[in-house]
Amino acid sequence: MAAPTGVASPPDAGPAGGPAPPARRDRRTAVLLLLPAVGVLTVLFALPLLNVAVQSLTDPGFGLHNYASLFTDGYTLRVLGRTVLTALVVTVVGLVLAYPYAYAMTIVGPTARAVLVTVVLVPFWTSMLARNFAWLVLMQDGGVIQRYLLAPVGLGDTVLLGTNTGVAISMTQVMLPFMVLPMYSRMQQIDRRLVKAAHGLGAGRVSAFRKVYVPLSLPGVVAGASLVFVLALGFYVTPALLGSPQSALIAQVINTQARELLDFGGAGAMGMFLLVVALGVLGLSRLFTGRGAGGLAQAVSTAGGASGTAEPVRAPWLRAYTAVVGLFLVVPSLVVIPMSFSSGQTFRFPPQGWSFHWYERLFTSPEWTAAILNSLQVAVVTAVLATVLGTAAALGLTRASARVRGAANGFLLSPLTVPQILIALVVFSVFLRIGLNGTLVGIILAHTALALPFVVIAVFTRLRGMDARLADAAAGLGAPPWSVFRRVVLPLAMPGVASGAVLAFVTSLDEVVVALFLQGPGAVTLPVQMFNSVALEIDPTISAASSLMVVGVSVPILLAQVAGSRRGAGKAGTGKAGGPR
Amino acid sequence: MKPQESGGGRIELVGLCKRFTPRGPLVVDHVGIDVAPGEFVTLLGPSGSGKTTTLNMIAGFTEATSGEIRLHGRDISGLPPHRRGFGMVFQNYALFPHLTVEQNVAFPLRERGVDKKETRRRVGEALDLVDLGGLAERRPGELSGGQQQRVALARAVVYSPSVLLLDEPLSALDRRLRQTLQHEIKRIHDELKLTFVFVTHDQEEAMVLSDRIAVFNRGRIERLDVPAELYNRPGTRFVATFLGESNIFAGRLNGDVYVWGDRKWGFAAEGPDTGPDDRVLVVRPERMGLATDPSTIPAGANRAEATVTEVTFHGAHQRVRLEFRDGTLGSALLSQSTVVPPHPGASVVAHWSPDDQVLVTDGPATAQIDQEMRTDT
Repeated sequence: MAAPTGVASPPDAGPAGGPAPPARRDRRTAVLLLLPAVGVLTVLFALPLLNVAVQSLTDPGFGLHNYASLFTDGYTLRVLGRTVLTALVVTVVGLVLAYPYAYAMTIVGPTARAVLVTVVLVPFWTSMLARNFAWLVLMQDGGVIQRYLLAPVGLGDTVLLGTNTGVAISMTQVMLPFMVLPMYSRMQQIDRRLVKAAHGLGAGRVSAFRKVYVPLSLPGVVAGASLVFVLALGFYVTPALLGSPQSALIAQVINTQARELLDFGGAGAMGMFLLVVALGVLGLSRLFTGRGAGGLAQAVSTAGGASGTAEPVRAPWLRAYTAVVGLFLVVPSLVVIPMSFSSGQTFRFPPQGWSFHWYERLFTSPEWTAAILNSLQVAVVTAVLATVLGTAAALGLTRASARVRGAANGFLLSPLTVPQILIALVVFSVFLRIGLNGTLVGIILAHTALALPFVVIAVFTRLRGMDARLADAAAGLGAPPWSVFRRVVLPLAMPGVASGAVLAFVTSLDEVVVALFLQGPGAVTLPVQMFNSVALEIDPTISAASSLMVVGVSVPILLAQVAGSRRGAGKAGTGKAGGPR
Repeated sequence: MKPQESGGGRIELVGLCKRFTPRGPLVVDHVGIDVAPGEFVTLLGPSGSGKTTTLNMIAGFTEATSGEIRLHGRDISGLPPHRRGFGMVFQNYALFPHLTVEQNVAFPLRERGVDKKETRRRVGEALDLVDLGGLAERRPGELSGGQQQRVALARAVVYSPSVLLLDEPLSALDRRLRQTLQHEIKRIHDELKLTFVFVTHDQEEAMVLSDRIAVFNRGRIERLDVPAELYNRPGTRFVATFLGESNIFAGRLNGDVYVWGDRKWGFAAEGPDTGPDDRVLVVRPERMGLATDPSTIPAGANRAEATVTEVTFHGAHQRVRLEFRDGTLGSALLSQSTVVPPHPGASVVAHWSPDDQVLVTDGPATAQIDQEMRTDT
């Protein structure tokens, strides 16, 4: 889950000069357009969330005992402490890695920037599981890290897999893009002449940077750090695959309690605790950064903007540092490619022999082909549903009165502020009762609720950037409302609709936590199959699936970025705003 | 829905009012104008004076709270914008960025089901009218601001609407371009004989273009008249300061003389026009002479002592800023041929013929007009 905290409602058009405030019939249309999306979210998300909140207070008996045991039970306390500590470490290390990198992104030339942006966007778009699988391969006993990094410094006996350190390292890498992008987005807006001005006014180079640039970039830092901290708190996939039950994090415990023990009261209490912390941190960050600190979605959509003037990067250490961070972002994912051509039956790396066996298996074995087809089916239907609902809602937002817009916007984006593990729990507990568990329909419905905010943001941002008077102009020139929509609004909104649809598709295609909770015979998606192939068995077919995803995603992004930077238009920034789980 | 009468449409606004919130102030307060067919009427006023809201109500983008908008005597206030059949030009052009120039201009024709051949002919004509024949295939983004506004003009007149509404069409352009396009707009008005309703905050533009000007102040039409009359007899202090510059003396009419401090000023032979005694006296800067030697002042002229605070050179004339004895600030425009202008700090006697002074009512809070709203030199 991502948390674009700053999708502020547009400034209200004053009566003078600007477009006329919405007329009454416009406001009625707005409500009609918003209704379907709001209804769907209410049924699929808001009411179930309320239900879990109630359950946490009433199951098994009425009272606060579920919450009390959070803070009294020794085991739970240790889990909470470990989770918070891990999240803190991931945030701080990420900060240190991301800040110079983001800074370098803003000062290099267009081609170098295209590369740096791609390096951030690729992990952003590539399958979560591919990246976690790659870390698993690297960190396993006898793996590359142990043999080539640890053994030479006398730590040959250390195995990172199954430890908190290993979990923290891979979580840092997996979440680094979420740290870099808000910072980059903020730094791009800083007028670097201000630093020169401070320099000219007598401040030394370092002092000018520290006193002018750093404070100006702080909102981006806070946005990135709070986002990563909140994501890390509710992170499931990495600790589940790379950690161990002995060093479980809270998301794993929620998973166990809900799916294995069916203790919805206890799981609900933990989930609500996570939610409160998440909302608290995001609220504080928003307070600090102000409304203007664009959310991740905006950050991603501006990534790749070729604005700003290039400056030769004079500091050699910055160059080296940026290169190291860039390698850290990209290289681990690449091990899946040689892995996929291995002839062995294990995750041993580097492979001993070569074959196409795993590709063959990926496309012929019934469970893998079924998973691929299921995933495509779910993603396509989700994309269609979310795009239709989200586009209508975004159109409604632009026509609504300021009050309706504020409320509806907040509600439509609310799934983004809820930790993914809690969403999974919420959907699971309700679907279990109404028989949607273990069905593709259930997964589609849940994914639609998850993907809806991305479509709303993409289309609304686009519509808001559009000259508000164009629709007036069309009407004034004789076009009836439907014609205005078809011939002016829709064509202009199309890029937003398209990127919304892509975002929805990818969000669904890569979503694992909710799909994991809702899985059943005949309802296994590709990420779930990949997860199970590591967690439950050792099936190297995952390396073939991962490779296809890494390559299939990186190449188009790189081409788009390079093409974008060549054109100088810098509009190539469609990014996945979906998050790691 | 096809008001294609030769000449323009007749637009009547009757008691038009607008509140944006039920208990809010009247943003437009009982506005009434009768625009004759083919007339060029300008709604002029500072920002927030209600002129744009009035235009939006005529166009149908904003619902009127009360009152009527009539086209040829028929109330059209219930009609949605696309059924009113007006042409519309916007401040920021509002060209459709995804369509070429040609497609933009053809847009209203397509909406009206005009066939392809006829469309091509009329788009060609409209583009020729604004001198853009060669740019049909371009996209709006590839045009300069002036070119874009010409396209917007062509698009607004291509289907021969009876009325053209223009919402500050020139204010996004630089000064020189603005003047060129003013002539263009005037020429199109003369050629097509349409009714033009034009909104601007630029008084100079209003005077150059309009048959009549409605001066808006706080939601009401303060005055509605031909430009020369408005300039020469502003009637109210607001009009006197918004339209051109004025030296304003706040004194009192006493029978046939105007008393300002210890000064008594006479009037021309016919005496002051009738009205309340507490009106203020207005003298336009270009009507004011300056003398260092009182003996050179023509007999019968009215005079006021002042100190020169600043002298600026403007090419065709020089502006001398003055502070009168009671602290009133004013100015005089001296043509280049005038003898050496006084220096800052010099004491002078400002003088003018009684024919060149005019009494106006002292409206409330007229000082609120932004200086920047007036585009004087």
